[in-house]
Amino acid sequence: MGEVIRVEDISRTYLMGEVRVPALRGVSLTVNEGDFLIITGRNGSGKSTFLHQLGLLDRPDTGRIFLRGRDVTSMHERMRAEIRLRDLGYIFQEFALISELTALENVMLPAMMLDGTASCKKRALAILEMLEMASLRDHLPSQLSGGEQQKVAIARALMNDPSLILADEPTANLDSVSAAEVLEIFRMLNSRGNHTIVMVTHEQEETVYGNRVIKLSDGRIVSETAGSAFL
Amino acid sequence: MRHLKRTNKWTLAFIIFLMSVAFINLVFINSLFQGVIETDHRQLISTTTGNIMLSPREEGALFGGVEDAVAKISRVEGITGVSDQIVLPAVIEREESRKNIEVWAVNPSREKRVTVIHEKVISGYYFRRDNEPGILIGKRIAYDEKPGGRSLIVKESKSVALQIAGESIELPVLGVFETLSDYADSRAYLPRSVIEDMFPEYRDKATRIIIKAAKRGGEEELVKKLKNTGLPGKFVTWQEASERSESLTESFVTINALLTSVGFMIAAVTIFIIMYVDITHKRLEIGILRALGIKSHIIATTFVLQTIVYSLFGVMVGAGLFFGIIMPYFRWKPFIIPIGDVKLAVVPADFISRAVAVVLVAIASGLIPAIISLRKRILDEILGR
Repeated sequence: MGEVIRVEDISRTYLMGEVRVPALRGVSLTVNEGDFLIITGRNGSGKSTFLHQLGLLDRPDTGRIFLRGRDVTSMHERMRAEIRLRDLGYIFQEFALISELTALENVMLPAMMLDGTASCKKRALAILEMLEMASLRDHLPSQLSGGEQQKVAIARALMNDPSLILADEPTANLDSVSAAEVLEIFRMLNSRGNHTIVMVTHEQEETVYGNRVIKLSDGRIVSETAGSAFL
Repeated sequence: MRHLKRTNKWTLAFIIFLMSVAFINLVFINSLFQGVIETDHRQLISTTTGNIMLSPREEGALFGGVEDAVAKISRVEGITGVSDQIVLPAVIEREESRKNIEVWAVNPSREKRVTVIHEKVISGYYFRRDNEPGILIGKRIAYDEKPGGRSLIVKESKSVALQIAGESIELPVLGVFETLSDYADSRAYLPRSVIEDMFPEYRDKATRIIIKAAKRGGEEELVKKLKNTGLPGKFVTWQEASERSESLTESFVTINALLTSVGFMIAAVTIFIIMYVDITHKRLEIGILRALGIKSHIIATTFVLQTIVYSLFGVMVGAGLFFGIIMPYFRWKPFIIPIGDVKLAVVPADFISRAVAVVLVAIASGLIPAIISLRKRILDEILGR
């Protein structure tokens, strides 16, 4: 199994007014190809901050992050944007869809920067079909339920066929049925699509979907266990 | 475009409306001053100087051989009317009232071919014969508009006494004219036969000759042709003939430039605020696009294109309102100022430059907040911090 991402001793401190709040304190981790890594921890433990670092949405104060062996920590923002576009699929807790665009257009958005509209549309429709969302392709986000919106966000994350999918509490705003559907999609992507997945959650029962589970507390990894999927 | 189509229609309409108001503001100020300048020039040509004026080389001198001069000038191609004038200071009296005025002794039928005075008679009539004894007076002489003022109150068809160079004559008032130009409305016209009877030395002489051209704009070419007639005196265009008009034009051009600069600043600030608010509302969208890996220059270009579309629609709506409502309104109800009735006048080059300015300001107004937004941390954009 090749290494997808390696994190070496990263720290991140936020300034809240005049108070310095350490969110990550010397975290190191390696994610291998095919992993379904689940990050848990209480609110404020640093889970989302850590995922933001992996998703290249923020930079650590100290330490380094390697993506397929390339140091992305101090890379120019233009290059980091290119990596976000081609190699990473990020799924936000609040879906983060563009409200004026339809489901199909939202899915097509990242690929339109790389390919022509026609091939994007074909691929986007295929992904929506796979997620059983093709019939809702012309709906605006406001016309979709939370679960449907999250499926659109997942489809968008898959559009450029990234090697790593990062999901920040993707079920937090969903009812239990929708949440189960979304998690099944992740399981399928990991097992059949061979996508490496890193998912943040604070729902203990969701850890069964991962093959590795790490727990963060006060910005540090306090435990790592094998998930049920591994067993 | 798809994005714009799905933007809230009222928000879109409001943005375009504000853009159009900023554009109208710029165009209106300019058109108003152009209208004032145009009115001044039109009044000057049609009531006082004609398109070209022939005056003696020495100030206050008289021409001789007027009939011959008029005939020669009339033969020049592009000339449609020639009028010789004798301008004299006079005192007009009626009962207790008296006033110093200028009398313009003219050949009435020739004068009709150069000026519009005959069309501006508001009561009574213009001279029916070239030698009809009588006087045609401007409205500012005829009626006292200020209570207690010293203007002469004259009712048409009554006689007035006129003193010219120590000689006195009683003349019936044939009519009253009003051009709306204070300068023109403060003079009186007589047939030159009346002056020639009083002062035989004025026969075949004139203070100046005014000339009407077939069209405006080619005066300098005509002056060259007229100089070839060999007539003595100075041929000057209407611009050169009136220093007053030139300084008035310069003043209005300066005021126009100042107000236009202020207008540009107001338009720039207005458009900047509109676009800043609009783009600030799209911080989440910018954050999402950046998080997906869309390059910053593509995002900035998207917003700039959006502002270009807004501003083009703003200019189109503004132009529609301006030409469809504002211009016709002021044509129907012009501003009345002491030089005449002012309608809005559009100079195409000025109009286009203002439209371009609005679009350029909009581009800057879209680009600056977009760049500010793009320089923020992605997470701050997405989380609205």
